[in-house]
Amino acid sequence: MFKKFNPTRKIMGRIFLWFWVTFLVTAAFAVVGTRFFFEELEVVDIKPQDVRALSAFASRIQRNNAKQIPLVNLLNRLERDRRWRLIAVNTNNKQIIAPSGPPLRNMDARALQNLIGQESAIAIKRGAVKFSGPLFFNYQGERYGLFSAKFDRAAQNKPSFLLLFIIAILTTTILSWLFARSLTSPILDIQSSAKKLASGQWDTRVGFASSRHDELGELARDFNRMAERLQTMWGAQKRLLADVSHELRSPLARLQMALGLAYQQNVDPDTLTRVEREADRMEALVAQLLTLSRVEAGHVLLTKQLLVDVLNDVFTDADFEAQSKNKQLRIAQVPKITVEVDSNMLCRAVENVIRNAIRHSRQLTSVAFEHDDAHWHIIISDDGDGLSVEECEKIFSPFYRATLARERESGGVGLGLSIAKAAVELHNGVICAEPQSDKGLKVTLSFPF
Amino acid sequence: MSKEFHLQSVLVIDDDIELTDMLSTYLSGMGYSVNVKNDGEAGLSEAISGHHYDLILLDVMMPKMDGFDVLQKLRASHTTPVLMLTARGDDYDRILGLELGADDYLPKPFNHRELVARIKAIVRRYTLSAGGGTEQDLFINGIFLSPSRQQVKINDTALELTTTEFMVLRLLMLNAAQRVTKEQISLKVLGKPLQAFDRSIDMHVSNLRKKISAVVPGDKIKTLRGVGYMLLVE
Repeated sequence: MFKKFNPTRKIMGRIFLWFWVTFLVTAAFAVVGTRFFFEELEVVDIKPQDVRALSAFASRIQRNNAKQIPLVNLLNRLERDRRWRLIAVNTNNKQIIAPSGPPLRNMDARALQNLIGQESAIAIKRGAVKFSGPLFFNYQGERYGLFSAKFDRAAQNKPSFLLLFIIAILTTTILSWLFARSLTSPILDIQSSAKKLASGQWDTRVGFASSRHDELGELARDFNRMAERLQTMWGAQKRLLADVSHELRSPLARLQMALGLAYQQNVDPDTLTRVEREADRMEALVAQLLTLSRVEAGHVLLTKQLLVDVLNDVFTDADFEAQSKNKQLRIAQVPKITVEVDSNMLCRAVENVIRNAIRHSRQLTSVAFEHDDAHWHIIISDDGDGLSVEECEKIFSPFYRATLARERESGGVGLGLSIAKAAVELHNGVICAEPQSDKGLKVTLSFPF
Repeated sequence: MSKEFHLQSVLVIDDDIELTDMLSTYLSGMGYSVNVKNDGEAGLSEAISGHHYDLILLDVMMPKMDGFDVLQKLRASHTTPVLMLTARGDDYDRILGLELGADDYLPKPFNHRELVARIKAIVRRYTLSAGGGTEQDLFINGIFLSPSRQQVKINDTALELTTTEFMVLRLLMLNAAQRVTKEQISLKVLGKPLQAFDRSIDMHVSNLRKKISAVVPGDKIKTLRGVGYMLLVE
């Protein structure tokens, strides 16, 4: 399940992830870095309640003027009431009097020392800490500015931070996606064209990708040139086949007709029979050769269908042929599997193998089926004389005859199994023959699902 | 059928002049009156000229107008039996020919005996269907078939059937609600034993079906897989 959705298995996903992560990391560094290194001091509106509180503190300090308490202790005591830090800065020597607690950062201290010249109270913020002040008071003969420092929680959890994060994610996602797509969509375009071309749609061309000015556009244009050439060659090949077919058959047709005339004119019938037999043989040979080259040229039209629907007619016909030869054909139950095949080609392969088996069988030819997750097999065996292992390897080569005399008698020209092999290979399948343990030959046609 | 002697006439349309010369001599020797046209256009105009032909021998590969065009145009108005000579040995050619309404096909190069056998079968079929004056009219499942008038009607709509289709339908109607095997059809209609890996019976039945269902929807002919066909009574 994960495999299917694993984005790293697609270029699009990988480019996308790379850029997206890069964007995000860069953005994160930028944000954290600026926060860390350049924490900006900013002036914010001072809240009236802060001013009131400060002035209340200032007057409380002044009320304690008569007692001999050090200012630090006084601030400490006052601080306990509230959740604030109170910091006093001497206006003369700019000495900072801060109660116990975490020490004041240097830069903050400097900022406060600068603010002491301020006439009225303001508020400044650095990061999450907000300083308000100064409010002036006199204590034991010295003049101080009083500041309050507090963590501005609300300000630290800026609502904008989450928003910023979402915006960052969104923008980087969209940008990376667009970028990745701009790279992969022409590749996908070329890929789908290549797939169509491979399946025999010779007029396929890459569309918009070929108008790009980059390397991918170049690739698309080269692909189109290649497709153009393939189409031309395919056309030429087909024309040649048709021409050869026509040119070879016309004289054969005339020869047959001349034979007819010769019979009519009572020419020596024995001689004529021989001529006729050779003409028939030549004819069968031409037909088979053309079929072979047509199959080898490999123009397939794959469609999904039930295996039983594809083979039904072949079996009916083969059964008919076996019966006419007083032999038996036993066909196992065809499994209910859906296969993607060129039915014409598959029928041709099965037909040729079965007819060959029937021809060489003594009595019985049987057809069986097997299938697992990845492959399906048609197994055709006969009870004839069989072949040696070496012969089994050769029977698929054109014009190979295991037993010359008998093949000629039966009218075969030695191409049927070559045609079957080519047709099976068109489906990325494998055909193999092996001698059976007891008797006869077993031919297995295996196909991937 | 008239008992007086008359030569059966054959029109040969083929561009191979040497072949047609020999064909003409050969068929004349077998007792046919033969007329030859060496291109599709001339052949078509001769075929529809009004001169009666018992059979047309039609080649597929011809310059100007090929055999399929000729057949298609001929079938628009005539049901003259046609034997196609398919040169390419291509299944596609045979199937297309039969689909367009050819009565049979013979791959070129053909054996002379085979040719004569096919011609005889087709002509016999034709005269049987045309001259069966004594045979009764049939009316089954809305299909009316008159052998004497060589006519088929469904709901008063006349069906234009080729001779072969007519004969197939007649055979199915004579054996209505019974199984008719492909062997029977081949023997009785095409006049030849059924050959393995031959699809022509299926094509004729398929054409017949198309023509019937163009008038009334629904299938009146049932396929008995691997066996044959059956005409449904209701």
